[in-house]
Amino acid sequence: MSDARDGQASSTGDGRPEEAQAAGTSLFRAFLRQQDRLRRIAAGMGLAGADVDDVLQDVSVQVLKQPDQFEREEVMAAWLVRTTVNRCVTEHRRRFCRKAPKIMKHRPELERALTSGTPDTTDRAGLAEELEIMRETMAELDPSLLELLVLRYFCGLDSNDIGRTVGLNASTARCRLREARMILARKLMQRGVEP
Amino acid sequence: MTDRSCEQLRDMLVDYADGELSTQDAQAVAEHLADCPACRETVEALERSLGLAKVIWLDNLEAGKAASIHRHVIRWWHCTAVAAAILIVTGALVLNSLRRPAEPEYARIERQVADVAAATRLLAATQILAQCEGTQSIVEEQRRYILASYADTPAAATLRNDGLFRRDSQ
Repeated sequence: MSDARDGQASSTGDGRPEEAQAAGTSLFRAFLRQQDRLRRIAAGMGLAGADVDDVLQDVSVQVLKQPDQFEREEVMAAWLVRTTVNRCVTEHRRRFCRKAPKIMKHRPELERALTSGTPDTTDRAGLAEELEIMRETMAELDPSLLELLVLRYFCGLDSNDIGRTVGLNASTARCRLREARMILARKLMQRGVEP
Repeated sequence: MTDRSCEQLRDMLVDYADGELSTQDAQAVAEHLADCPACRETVEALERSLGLAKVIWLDNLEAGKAASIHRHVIRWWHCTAVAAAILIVTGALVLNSLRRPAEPEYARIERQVADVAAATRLLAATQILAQCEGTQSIVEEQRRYILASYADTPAAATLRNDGLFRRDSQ
């Protein structure tokens, strides 16, 4: 499907929105260009491989349904990011309601790989415990906060871009980011304090 | 420093940890941190939690890529491979019940099962490649290889029956 659409876009040249033949193609080409970033977002939101593929598939379908109304690449990119984030948030809520397999799957091999360079057994156990705390905290974090963390710290967007993408002003986005960061930090500080 | 100072500076700790404060504000926070172990602990936890979050994100991304590649290659063809392998093994067992084969017979059957699975996977990969532009020569090479190396497998039969390998027939 993607090749066919891409091929169509190539044949129409500049992909101007007024050309009926090119409707949707420039957005689809933007989707292909942004695919790595969208995959990064979905993975950051805690989805596993097959679920990431499903999210991207859904986004590509929405791209094809979308009239080609965007003229600038950054607007298309923001729309794609927004659509992907929305789809991931929906997946989070669906799993929460149906008690489906958890977001942020536990991966013992990550602990093994990370702690293999740590000679001290206590340090290894501590690091593995911290990882588990973080994973659980991120899985339980409100997806509207998690999406901000992913966009800021995993995709490198600044507060202005994040605000534009998720429909908040920059200072509100920054404020909510601080809130999310403090939640993660507090959970880590509570380690070993709670009974 | 009083608790109030901690409260006042708390909102700046994330920006401080991210290095996003002005020089003047960063200086004020640094001075506070020098005297306040609780806020120091918070900044350390902010940095450490973000580091761990990035590890988890990256790991999830890499695990996802690996799963995605694996899934694309064998997604619907692995069923065929498994079914073919089961058929051959079942056939071998039936044969075995009819006549007790010599030891080398098992090795031959085992090789056949492996060949069927390998050829089916190769064919699946070839069909995915065939959907991409500019891969025609690789695809034909791949089909030729399947026919030459796994001539007695269902995958080779599929290629012959579907006429997918035209160059050989020309």
